[in-house]
Amino acid sequence: MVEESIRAGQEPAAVSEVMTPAGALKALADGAVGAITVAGTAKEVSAHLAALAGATANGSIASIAITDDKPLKVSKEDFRVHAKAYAQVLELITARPLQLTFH
Amino acid sequence: MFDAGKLSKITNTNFAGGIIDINFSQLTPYKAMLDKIDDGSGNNSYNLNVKDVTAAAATLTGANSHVQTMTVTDIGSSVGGRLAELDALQDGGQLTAIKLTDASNIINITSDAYDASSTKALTILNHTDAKPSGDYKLALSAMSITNAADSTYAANTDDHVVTYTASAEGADIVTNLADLEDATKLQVINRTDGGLDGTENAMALTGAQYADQVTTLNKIQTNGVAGYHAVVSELAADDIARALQDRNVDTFDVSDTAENLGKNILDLQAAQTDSNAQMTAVAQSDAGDIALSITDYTTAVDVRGDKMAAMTWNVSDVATTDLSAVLNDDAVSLVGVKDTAAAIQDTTMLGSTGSEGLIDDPVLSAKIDSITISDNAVLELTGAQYTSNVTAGGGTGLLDKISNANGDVYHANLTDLDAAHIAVATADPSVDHFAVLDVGSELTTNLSDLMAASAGDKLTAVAVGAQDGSPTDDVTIEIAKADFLNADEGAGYVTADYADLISKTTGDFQVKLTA
Repeated sequence: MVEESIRAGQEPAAVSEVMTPAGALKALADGAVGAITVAGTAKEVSAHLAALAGATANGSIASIAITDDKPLKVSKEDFRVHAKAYAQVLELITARPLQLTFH
Repeated sequence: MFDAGKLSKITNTNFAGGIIDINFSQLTPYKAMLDKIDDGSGNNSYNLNVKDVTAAAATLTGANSHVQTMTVTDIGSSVGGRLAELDALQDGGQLTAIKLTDASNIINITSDAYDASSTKALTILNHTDAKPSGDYKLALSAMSITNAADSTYAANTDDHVVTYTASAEGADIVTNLADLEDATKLQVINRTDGGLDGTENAMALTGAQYADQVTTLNKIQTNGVAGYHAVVSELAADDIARALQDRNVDTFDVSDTAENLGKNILDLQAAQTDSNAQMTAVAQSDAGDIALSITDYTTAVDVRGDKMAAMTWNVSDVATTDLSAVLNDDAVSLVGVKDTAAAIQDTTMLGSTGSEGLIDDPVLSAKIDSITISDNAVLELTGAQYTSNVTAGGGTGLLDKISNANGDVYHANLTDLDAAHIAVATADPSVDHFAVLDVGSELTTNLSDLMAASAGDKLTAVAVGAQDGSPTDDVTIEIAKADFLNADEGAGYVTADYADLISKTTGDFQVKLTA
């Protein structure tokens, strides 16, 4: 597992498995490279959407799958301020159709 | 001293051509001596030229067979009083000159005497070197009204005539009124058919005569008292006030244009309620509504309801509190409303849903000609008020009639505007700002208008919900994902634009990104 490799002091390896949003973000923070596939519930993705948007800008996220049929919750203010980054991360979400709620 | 008793005879050696000059004052004292003049044949024959005869003595002097010629010297009043006698003496060749001792005084004679004397005694009256045509002044009386009205009549062109009076029946005065206005020497017109108390045969004047021949009418006397009685027809509205104060006018009827009737509505009302009841009728000489302010409309209630009952009105400056009563007056065709923005935006004025407003009644609404915001303040309207009263929104058109008192277009802020009218409000220069309230499906349908408004400076907020405030599940706005996530700033709206719209949006709503 990537997390275990990192803890063991090994060189960060390219990641290919599907990770939770929190896991993906941690792996990236630990220096993982490569395009990570993320999957999580709408609640999980919503909770890390801003960070995922930042990671997406670096090309580190390959796709994001929503594992339930709930809408994503998005901060209006964050969306307004970081519209371009949000556009990029939302582009990676594979849910069809994608539903958003704003707060 | 001459003693006639000792003189037995005076022989007149040139009786045929000789003439003895003598002053009138000498005629009587010298009579005994003159009786002794003999022409050589035993006849007491001689010819006299008597000078300075008084007017009163002229005829008697002229009867003296010895008097071949004479001159009269006297004051004007005496000459005037004996003018007919002097005419005869002048006409007979005896009277050769009349000298006035008071040329500055006016001689009063009748018009008939003037006519008779103008070719006789007056031709020799007080001719002086300074005034070869005669130095005298005449005042004529009892001139006929036709002569007075004739600018070519001698008295009107003769500088010696300084004033005159005329006499006539009322009808003849009326006939000549216009020409009499130019008779500047005319001082008094004596009516001769006014009866003992002057009230008979009231003169029939037109309103134009009453208005234009004031100078002449003011010269009329009846039985020696200034004044007359008249019935005036088609009096101009401008002259009502004068007629009401004029005791010469028994009755009058008014006829004038809508403009003038409106301008003088308070005088019409005064005439309607005047205790003398002079005004008998009011007619409008043209077509159209009579314009009144609400103040005058209210004040003129009596005349509007009676003698002007057949006329129609255009009432301006109507406050919203008076609007219902004015609109429901069948005689009112047009109404101009003027009130504060707060009053005009009241639901009784503009309605709140398109069916509750006072003037949502199309018949009444059509009467509204203009609406003026007296305080130039911004209207705060609901979307329903706006859409149900603006033509572009399919409404009554009432809002299209609104302007500010300063001449500017009105300004309005809208709340709870439905999505279907976003484009109308965006394009309307009178709408400063608006907030939208509608369900998700309507917002989706009108998304392009919504986005355009969001990009402008009018849209202040978007609420997702039902227009009637009822709970709804229709809270999802559908947006094509490709549009929503568009990062190409050169191609239409980008995500930031949608983000801006969403930041203005309130309520429990969702955005559904579609393929």
